[in-house]
Amino acid sequence: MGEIFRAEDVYVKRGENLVLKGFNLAVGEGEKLLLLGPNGSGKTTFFEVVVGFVKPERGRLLFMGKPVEAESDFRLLRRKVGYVFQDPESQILMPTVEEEIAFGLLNLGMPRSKIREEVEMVLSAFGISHLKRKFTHELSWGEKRLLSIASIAVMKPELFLLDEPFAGLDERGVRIVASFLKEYDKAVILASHTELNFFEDWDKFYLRAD
Amino acid sequence: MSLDPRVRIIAFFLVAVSVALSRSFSAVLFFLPYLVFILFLERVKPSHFKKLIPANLFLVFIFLTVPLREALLIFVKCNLILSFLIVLVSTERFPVLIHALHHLKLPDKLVHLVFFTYRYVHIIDEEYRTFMKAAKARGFHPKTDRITYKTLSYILANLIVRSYEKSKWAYKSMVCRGFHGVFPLYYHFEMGFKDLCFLGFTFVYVGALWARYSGLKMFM
Repeated sequence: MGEIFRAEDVYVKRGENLVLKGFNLAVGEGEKLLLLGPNGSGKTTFFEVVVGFVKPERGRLLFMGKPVEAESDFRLLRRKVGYVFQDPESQILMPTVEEEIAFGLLNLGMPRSKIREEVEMVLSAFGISHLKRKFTHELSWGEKRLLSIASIAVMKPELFLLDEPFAGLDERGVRIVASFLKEYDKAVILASHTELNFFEDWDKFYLRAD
Repeated sequence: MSLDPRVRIIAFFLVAVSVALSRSFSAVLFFLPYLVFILFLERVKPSHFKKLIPANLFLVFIFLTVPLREALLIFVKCNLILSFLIVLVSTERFPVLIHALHHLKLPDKLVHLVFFTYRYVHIIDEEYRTFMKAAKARGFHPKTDRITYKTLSYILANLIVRSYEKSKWAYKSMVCRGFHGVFPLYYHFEMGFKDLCFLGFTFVYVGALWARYSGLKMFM
């Protein structure tokens, strides 16, 4: 199993606080990992480091064996790493559900006919086909959450980062997302502040808030 | 009849400019049959015209400040232009119109600005309602006193801060999904025979008005 991503001895400061201190983590192809820790332990910060939104004070990042340092490296990385934000409202950009899901694929330059197929498939996988033509500002919180995950899932990232994806989801939504992630054949890191029963077989990585 | 949104925008622009520049009642009223024609074509429900009421409330003030003939002309022109806006533009979904503006080669920055304004007006409105609910849940009742002004100022300041934060996250969301400066379009339009006929008819109609009123004289 090849390695997808590695963080070596990463230090991140937010204001005066060191949020990540000598953080080390490696994820292999198709590996599933739960990143657990209380609020403020640095889960979101770590995800932001991975996609290049936060620059570490010290440390090294490797994606598919190559160091990621310059913005151009992160730009390439972001085409293969999908990041679902903690707050779906901050992530959703487009006016309609269909366009929101298609946004990433259009940026990747996929042909429109293929995009339509992919959009249909992901809408059905997340049980939101009936919302296809709806305006995103009319959706409920749970629907926005499902949409935010679906719009990243459609890009089939090599590494799928999800920040508290179950917050605000009802039982049906939780079941849909959990079964999707279990069947997803690529690497996943899921950040949560609580233990999640349905991912008992996944590796766990604990962060402390100090 | 479903017209291409680009045709709607071009037709609206043509008639709106012509009506706005007209100086005589006869020139303005020349567009009435055209309006009736589109009404028939689009089968617009009369309820759509309720939107004219708030606009006319403002127009009443014109009668207080401008001579009667001028005021009446402005009143008719405004109502006619708004009616065209209702019939031609507001019957189309706003995101589709934004795409149409892009296809009409309007500057990208302007189109993006319209797009984000539309998208985030709803979010800011939601935030405002949430703030107001939070305040009311703790006994806030707007009055004309210092506490009310102070509270509303804090809410406004919070809205500005939140908008700034949201804009940062929106940018992150775009970058995360491969955005590279160009907004990709999902929907594409196809101009059909009926669109070309309608556009042709509009050009002929406006042209006829120009001919009838000897070109620029109609604007003088």
